[in-house]
Amino acid sequence: MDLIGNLLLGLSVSLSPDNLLLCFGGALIGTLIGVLPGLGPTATVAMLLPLTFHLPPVGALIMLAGIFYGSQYGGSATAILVNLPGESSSVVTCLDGHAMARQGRAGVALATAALASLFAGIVTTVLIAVAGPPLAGVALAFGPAEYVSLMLLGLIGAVTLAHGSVVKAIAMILLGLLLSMVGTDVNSGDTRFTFGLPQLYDGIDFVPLAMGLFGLAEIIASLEQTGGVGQTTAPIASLWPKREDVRQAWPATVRGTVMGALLGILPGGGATLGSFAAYSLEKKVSRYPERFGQGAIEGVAAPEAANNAASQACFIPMLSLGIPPNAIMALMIGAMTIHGITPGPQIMAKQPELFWGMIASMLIGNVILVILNLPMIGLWVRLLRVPYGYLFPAILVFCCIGTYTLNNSAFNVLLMALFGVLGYVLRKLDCEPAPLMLGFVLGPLLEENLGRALLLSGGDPTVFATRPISGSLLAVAALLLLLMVMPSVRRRRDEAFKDE
Amino acid sequence: MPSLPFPNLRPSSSLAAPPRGPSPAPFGTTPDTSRNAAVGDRTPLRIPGQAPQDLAAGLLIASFGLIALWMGREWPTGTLAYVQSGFFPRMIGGLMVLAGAVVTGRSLLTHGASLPAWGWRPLLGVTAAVLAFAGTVETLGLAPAVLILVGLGNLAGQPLRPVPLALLGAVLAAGCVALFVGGLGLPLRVWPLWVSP
Repeated sequence: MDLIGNLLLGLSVSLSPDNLLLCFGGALIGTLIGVLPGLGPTATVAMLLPLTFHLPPVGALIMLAGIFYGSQYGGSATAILVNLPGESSSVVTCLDGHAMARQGRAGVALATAALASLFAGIVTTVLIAVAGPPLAGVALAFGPAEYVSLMLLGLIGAVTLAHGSVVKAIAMILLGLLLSMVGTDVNSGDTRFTFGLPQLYDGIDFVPLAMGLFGLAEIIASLEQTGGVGQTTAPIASLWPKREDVRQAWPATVRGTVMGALLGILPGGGATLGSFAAYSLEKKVSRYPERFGQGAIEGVAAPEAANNAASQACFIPMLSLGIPPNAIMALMIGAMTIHGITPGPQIMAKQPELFWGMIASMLIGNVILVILNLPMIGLWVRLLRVPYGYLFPAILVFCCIGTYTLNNSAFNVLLMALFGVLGYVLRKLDCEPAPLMLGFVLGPLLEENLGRALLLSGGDPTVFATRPISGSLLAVAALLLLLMVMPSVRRRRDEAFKDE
Repeated sequence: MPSLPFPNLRPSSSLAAPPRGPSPAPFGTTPDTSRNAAVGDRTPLRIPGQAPQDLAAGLLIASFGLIALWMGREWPTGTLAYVQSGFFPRMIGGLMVLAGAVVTGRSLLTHGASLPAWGWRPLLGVTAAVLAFAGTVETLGLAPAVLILVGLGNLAGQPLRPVPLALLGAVLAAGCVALFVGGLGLPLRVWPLWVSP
C-alpha cells in the first residue's frame, strides 16, 4: 500500500528523537500560552512563530503543528475553566463545558475534550493522507485563472464564516490585499506604498502584522476587560470520566468528527461552523435535549471533536493547493515561506519527507497532547490563577523579542506597535482582523496570477468564467455570496453567530 | 454551508458576551475616561447618527481606499493584456472606497451599535512600552530594553507594587538573555556600549 508506505516514511521522520522533542515542546508551549485567557489559537501561533525560525524546515513545521494543537487545546481549557472562549470555535464548548465545571466536573470535561479531540485528530489525519495526494493531482491541472478563482472562493468563504457584517469582512480582506502590496513590485521594480521608507522596500513582514493584529490587540482588549485582574477558576474534583460518561460521549464524538471533517474541507475554514453544527446536531438527536446547557457531556465531546477535525481538515486545501482556508493556516503558510517552502501541489512530490513527516507529526502531536495534558490539568488551572499583571508583561516581552529577532530590525517592532493599535481600533469597530490576514497572505499570489491569466488570454477578462474549473469555482463563490445576502440565510447566520 | 439550520444555541445562562446592538445608556451619561480600564466601565459614547460604530468603520475603510487611490494616482495601470504596477492597487483601492461607502451609507439608514468606550490606558500603555523597546533595544541593549518594556507595560494594567515589579523585570530580563543570547546564540547586544563593548 502506497498510503501505508508513505505514512511509515512520515513516522520515521517525525519519530526521530529531535523531532519528537520539538513536537513535545511545541505542544507544551502552545498549551501554556493558549491557556492564558484572551489568547486564542491564532494569537498563540502568531506569538510563537519566532521560536521555530532557527530550526530546520521539517523540525520547524513539526513544532508548529505541536504549537497549533497545544494552543487549540489550551483554548478549550480556558473555555471550560473560566468560560472565556479563546476563539469563536470554542464558544460552544463554553456552554456545557463550563456548566460541567461549575458542578465540579471540570476534570471530566477537560479529559473528554482531550480524548474527543484525539479521536477526531487521528481520523482526520488518515483522511488527509488519503485525500491530499489526489487533490494535489487536480491542482497540477490548475492554471493562473483557476488559481484566481480558487482564491476568490476561499476569500469569500472566509467572509461567510466571519461574524458580523459581510461588507466589513470584505473590506478587511481588501485592506489585507492593500497591505500586501507595500514594497517593491516584483514585475516592474516600482515601489508601492512605501512612504519613502527604505525599510518597507521589501514589503511588510508578516510576523509584526500578525503579532500586532492578534497578539498586542488581544492583550490590550483583555487588559481593558479585566483591568489587569486575574480570572476565577472552577475547582477540579475528579479527572476521569465515569463509564456512564464514556457511553454518552462516544457516539457524540464520532458524529462530531464526521461533521467537522466534512465542513473543514470547505474553503473558508469550518472550525467554527463545524463546532456549532455538531452541537446543534447533538441537541437534535438527543433524547433529552433539555440537558444541554446544563452540563451535558455530549455538548463537550461533539463540538470539541468537530473543532479539531475541522481545523485539521483545513490542512487539506492548504497542503495540496497552497491556499490557506483561515487565519491560522495563513500563519502556517507564512511560516513555511520563511523557511523557503512554497506550499502547494509540488510539495508532495518534491519534498515527500516534509509532507508525510508533517502528517505523521499530526498523529504524534495529538497523542502527545493527551499524554501531556491529562496529568497537567492541575498545573494549567494554577497558571490561570496567576494575576494577569504578571503575565502580560511577560507576553509583551516575548512578542517584542520575537519580532525583533526575526531580522534584528527595530523597525519591525515599531510596525508591530502600529498594527497593535490598528487591530484594537478594528476590534472596537466590530471589524474582524482574521480576513485581513488571509487577504495579506493571498495578495501577492492573487495579483501575480491575475496578471498572468490576463496576459495568457490576451486581455480577455471572460477567461475566468469560460474555463470550466475556474468558471465552476467562481459560480460556487457567487452562490455563497448570494446566499449570504438572502434575508432568510442572513437571519440564521446571525443566530448561529449570536453567541460570539 | 450557510444554509444549515441552526437553532438558537444559547441557553438562558452563561457567557458574558459584550452587548451588541443599541446601548440602553441614558442621555447625559458622560463616560469617565480616567477609569476606562476598570471592569464595569463600558459606557458607550453617544454621538449623533444612528449607527455610530458602523459610521466610523465605513469612514475608516473609505479613507484607507482613498489614501491608496491617491498614493497610486501616477502609477501606470497598463492594459488588460499587460497589467502594470498600478492596476491592482487602483482596483483594490476603488473596491475599498465602494465598501466604505456601502457601510457608511447603511449606517445612516439603520439603527446599530454605538461606539464603544476606548480603553485608553491599556492602549497607550502597551503601545508606549513596545515603542520604547523598539527605541532602546539597539542603543541600550536587550537587558535595559526589557526592563523599560516591563516598567512601562506595567502602567497599562493594574500596576504592581515596586518590589514584585522589580523582581518580575529582573527575572524576565535574565530569562530572555539566557534563552535568546545564551541558548539560541542570537547576536544581540545585552548591555549598553559603555558597560560592555
